[in-house]
Order: sequence, then structure tokens, then C-alpha cells
Amino acid sequence: MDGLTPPAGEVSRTDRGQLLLVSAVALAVLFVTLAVILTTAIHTETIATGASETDNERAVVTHQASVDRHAGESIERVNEADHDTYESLEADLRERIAAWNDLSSRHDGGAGAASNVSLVAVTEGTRIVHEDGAEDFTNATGEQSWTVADDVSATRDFRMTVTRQSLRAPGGKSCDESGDCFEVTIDDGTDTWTMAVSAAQNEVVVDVENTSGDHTTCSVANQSAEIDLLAGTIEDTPCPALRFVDDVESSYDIHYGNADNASGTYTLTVDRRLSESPAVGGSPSYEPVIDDATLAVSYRTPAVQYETERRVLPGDFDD
Amino acid sequence: MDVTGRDRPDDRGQALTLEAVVAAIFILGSVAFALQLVAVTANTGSTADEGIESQHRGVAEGLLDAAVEDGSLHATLRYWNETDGAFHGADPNGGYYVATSPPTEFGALLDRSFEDRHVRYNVNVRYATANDVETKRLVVHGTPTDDAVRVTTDLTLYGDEQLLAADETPTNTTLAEADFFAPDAVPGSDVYTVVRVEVIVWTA
Repeated sequence: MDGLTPPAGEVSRTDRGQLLLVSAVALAVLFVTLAVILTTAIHTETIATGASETDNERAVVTHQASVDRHAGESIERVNEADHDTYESLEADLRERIAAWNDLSSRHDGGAGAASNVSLVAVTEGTRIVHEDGAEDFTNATGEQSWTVADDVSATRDFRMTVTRQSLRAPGGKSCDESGDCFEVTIDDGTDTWTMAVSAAQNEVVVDVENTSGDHTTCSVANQSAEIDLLAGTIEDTPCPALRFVDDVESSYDIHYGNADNASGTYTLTVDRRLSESPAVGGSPSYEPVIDDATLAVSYRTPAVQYETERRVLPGDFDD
Repeated sequence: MDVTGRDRPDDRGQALTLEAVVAAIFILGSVAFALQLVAVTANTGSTADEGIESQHRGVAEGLLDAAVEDGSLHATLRYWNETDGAFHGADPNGGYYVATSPPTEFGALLDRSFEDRHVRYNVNVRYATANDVETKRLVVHGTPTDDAVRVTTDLTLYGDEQLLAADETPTNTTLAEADFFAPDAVPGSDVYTVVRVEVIVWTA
């Protein structure tokens, strides 16, 4: 049995074999543990930085869209209400914006954001309304050739309904030749755009002469015709030539000619405070309206800070 | 046999080789496992989650924007039955719709957007009271998971707007007069209140 134990002084290779295995197992465990830790770290980081960028942008965009929507609705409602002065219009709008701000910032506060909206300024506009369908389109003093609005940069609304019976029927001649059809003239200082309205047989005929001198005719067979000069329609049928805003430079004057040769109603809204004061009982009436409002908007979260001044138009208008 | 025991290494040689091979297999195997784990699991799993989440978010945002634009969300908020104190056709227990969409245009839009049966959603309406902001449930499909997506929008309700009857036509009762789930937050103005509608979407 002497050969069983290795002689003293000689290194035992049996022990070294087990050492190799043990250290191999230890390394394997180390690698796997490292891998698990690394995976967890990467995974956590990916989730943490995931959607928060877009969350911030979305929150600001949503807030701004809500502000625009409410402000647009408010301006419309304020303009519909009975206000006699620009001061009372502005005060009403300011109050509405403040009330909305109060409620909206409570919602935002619950979501961890500080938001604020306030009214900075309004631009005054005028709405010119002629409501008595039996009366002709002359002004309060009875002039048949008169300036409805001067120095206008933007028209927000321009609709008229004319009754066919009241219109001139030039009888074979064009309105240019006969010279007595009711006309709307837009004059921007260098060019003029004219719309002449007349009757022919059972139709209401609209003859547009644009700034280059081209004539376009649209007509509708009806007792009365609703002409929308901004939408470019006559009784809801498209007539793109009617859109004078595409043709004239701003700013421009709006004239009526031969206004005693048309009856019906009209309403137009321009973006300026006109010097005409409302004639009591006269027609048309000039009403104060708000053309647009400038708001100061701010929105703050720990991650984003947003401040701007923003111009809002009434209703669904895009500028 | 030698006195020094030199014969012994022959037997030990095979055992040692075997152990070395096993050790090598251990190490190589663990390295391969570790590399594969990091490369595949860390990135793939979260990318898939993120993809689904942003898809839900996109659908919910589009749906809310469309519903605000065409007025169908506004109409559904007014689809209130004041005698029952609940929305028309809602579950009588809670006054909200359980596991179904409202029978309105907005409900049809919700159905179209979330056709996949695995996608669940809740719709809540938050409104201000005198001291607090409370939540009124509109649609409940269950409890959201941790990875649910939440999208909100604000709407203004006016006191002169009318409640809608069960067939979506306007009734003669205005919000100012009605027994509505939200109180009049701005008495004395024609603004009734401002609500925040939230849509929560998750995969079941």
C-alpha cells in the first residue's frame, strides 16, 4: 500500500483536477449573474426612457388645442351676445377666459402640470348687418352708391341674399352696357373687382369681373339667391370666381353701386373698427365685434416648460 | 507498480481530461447563454411592449381628436337621462356602460377603433366640484394593467346646451336646468363646466 499515497514533496495532480472544475463552475456562475444584471439594467433603462418624450409634446399640443378651441368658441359667443361697446365685448371675453382658466388649471393641477391662460389684447372688428328683407341695399341716408367698409385687411364673413324680383333685368344687354345693375366693387387702390347681380328670365345672374378684366357668370334659377363671397357659392353651388379675397391685395374698400336695384339681406364682418356709428333705426347697422384675441398661454411640468402668446380667431377659422 | 506511484497518472489522465472537458463545457455554455440573454431579451421584450403601447396611444389620440372635431364626444356627454341619474342605456348599478360602448356615434367610433377583442379600454370624465375634481365613469371594461396608455382631452359644456334623449335627439332640458352629473362650475355665466375626458387603453 505504499504506492497509494503520493510521496511527500510531489504536487498532487488529483487536487488540481478538482480545482479546475470548481473554478470553471465559479466562472460560469459569474458570467450568468453578470448577464442577468446587465439585462435588467438595459431593460429598466429602456422602459424608463420610453414614451416620456412624446408624452411631454402631446401634453403641450393637447393643452394648446384646448385653449384654441375654447377661445374660438368664446369669441363667437361673445360676438353673438348683445354688446354695444368694444369695452363690454372685451370684458365679457376676459371673464370667460378667466373662468375657463380656473377650471382647466384645476384639471391640469391634478395631473401635475401648472397651466395658465389669460387675455392679452383683442382686435376690434365690425359686423355690418342689413336684416330687413323688404328694404333695398341703400345706406341709412338713402345713397345708392356708397362705401360699405373702407381700408379692410380681412373679411371674415360676407353673405347676401337677394330677391330676384328686386333685381334689374338688363334685357339682352350685359350689366356693363346697361350700367344699372346692382354692383359690389372691391377696390384695393390699384385694381378693382366687381360683381354685378341681375335677373334674367327666371334666374338670378351674377357676373364677376376680376382684377384682370376676365368675366365669369354664375346663375341659379330661384326666387332668391344666397351669395356667399367667402365660400364662393351661390345657393350652395360652387362659383369660385366669387372669392374676391383670392384676387385683391389687402387692404381694400367695399362699395355698393346702384344699391336701389337690389333688395334682401346681407351681413359682412370686417377686421376693423369702422368710423361709422350705427344709425338709429337705419340700415345697415354697424355692430362691434371681436375680430381676434391674443392670449398668453403657459404650461409647465417638471419635464417641460411652454410659454407663448397666441392669436385666436373666432370659430373654426384658420388664419 | 512503481514505488513513487508513477503508474497512477495514467488513470488520472483520463479523469482529468474528462473534468477539463466538463469545465470547458460549463464555461462556454454559460458564456453563450449570457450573450444570448443580453442580446435578445433586453431589447426585444421592451421593443415589443413599446410598439404596442405607442400603437394604442396613436389610436386613442386619433379617436379623441376625431370625436372632438365632429362633436360626437360632446353629444355623448349630454346623453344623460336625468330621471335615472345615469347615461341612457347604461348599467343601472353604476350609471355607466359596462363591457360595452355607449349607443351613440362616439360609441360606434370606439367600436371601430378597438375592434381587436384583446384590446380593452375605459373612458372616464373628470369634472370640477366646489373643492375637488371628481371622476365620472363612462365606459368600464375592467382594471387597466401596468402598461396601459392614458390619453386625455378637454371639453367645455355650456349651460344653454340641451340634454339628448335615448334616440340622440335634443330634449327641451338644458344643462343649466337639468340634474346633471357635474355641477354648474361657473354660475352666472353661460359656461357650465370644463370636463376632461380620459381614454385608457390596454391589452388584455
